Amino acid sequence: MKLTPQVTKTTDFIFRHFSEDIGSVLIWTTIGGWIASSAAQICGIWRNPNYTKEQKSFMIPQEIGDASMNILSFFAITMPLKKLANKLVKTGKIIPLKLVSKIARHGDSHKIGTYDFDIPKLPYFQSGNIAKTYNSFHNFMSTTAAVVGGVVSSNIVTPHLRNRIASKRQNQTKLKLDFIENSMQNNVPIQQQTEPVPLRPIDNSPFDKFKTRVMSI
Amino acid sequence: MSISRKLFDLIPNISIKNKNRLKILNKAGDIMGRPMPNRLIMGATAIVSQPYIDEHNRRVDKDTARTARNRTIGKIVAGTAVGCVVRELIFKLINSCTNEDISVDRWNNVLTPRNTTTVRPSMLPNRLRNYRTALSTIVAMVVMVGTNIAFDLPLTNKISNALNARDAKKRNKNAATPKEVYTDVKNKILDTFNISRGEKT
Repeated sequence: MKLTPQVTKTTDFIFRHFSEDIGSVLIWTTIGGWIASSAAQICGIWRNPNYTKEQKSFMIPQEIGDASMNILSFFAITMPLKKLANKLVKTGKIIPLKLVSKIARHGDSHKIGTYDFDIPKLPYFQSGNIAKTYNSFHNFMSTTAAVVGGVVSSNIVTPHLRNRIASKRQNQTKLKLDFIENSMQNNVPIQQQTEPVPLRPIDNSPFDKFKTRVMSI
Repeated sequence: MSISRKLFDLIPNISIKNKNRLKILNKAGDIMGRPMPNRLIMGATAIVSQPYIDEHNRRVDKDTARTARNRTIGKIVAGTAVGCVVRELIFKLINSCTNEDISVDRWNNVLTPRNTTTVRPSMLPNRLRNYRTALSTIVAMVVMVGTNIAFDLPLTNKISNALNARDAKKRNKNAATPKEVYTDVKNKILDTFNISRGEKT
């Protein structure tokens, strides 16, 4: 069984670009997923007849806030956490003892845990199962950081922030709706009801002292 | 010396000595990295935290907070259920179509990249594992655009409407039974804990 050359090209492209580090593809697919999910949910709220206008005015901004806050908190919390975890493993701050002894055999034990140490860049990285042990542990650290960061950002930080944003937006919409309702009740066209805002007289008091002071040089 | 370097130096070197513990950690990393368990963990933690945060949102009135909470519950349950099923199916399908052996073209290596020969054999299992996760995540995202509208949305609406109806029922029941104004603390305690007052009629 053989697929079209386009599919083979695509699979080759994915392997070449994302098989070494799947971090970037996970980021973009996660963001894409949030946007798609929020767009669908907004449609759902909009078309649900069981919600009142007031509830919709809170829930639609809540959904928009959810997607945008998810993306922001992902970059602010999950990504740095993941980077930190990668750095800790890469430099050997947190690694299995098996790996420490293998590195020590090559005389690099004094470098373990230093800021610039990079285990995958070692010339003997591919030999003696170092790569296998390292990759498995690196995978655990990276995944754990992503999960912990994801839980904190998506399930704790985002709900708080999105509620704050949505309630602000709801208050604004409520004011608008009240205004329209009032003008409908009073039979006054909305445009006529808005009176021109009187100009505030200019307050010159901070400059008064300069008028009376006698300047002596 | 930069601040990040100084902070980094404060962290002590840690090495995992226990072989069994290391095995467990590696296995945990492998499982958590798969699309379905990953979604399940996110869903399980979301159902614990998000409805609580929504219900205790003081910036909106109680009714809106409850409606938002019900919608959040519906969204999490529907999203997690559909997400887990879709991701697991796609992951299994991609796993079964990405066999390492590409000497003969078969259905079980139809999605295996043909440029794997450029990679060192010792690195291939890890690179293939990452490839499978990446491919299934990309395919899942594309499929989820459709399932969001086809399954997530109606399911979310059904769950949240059912929860809203239950809330409304509760509210009506509470409104129908007028609250007793207590003059005696003892009676209030007895009623709160459903203890009979022991009054003789």
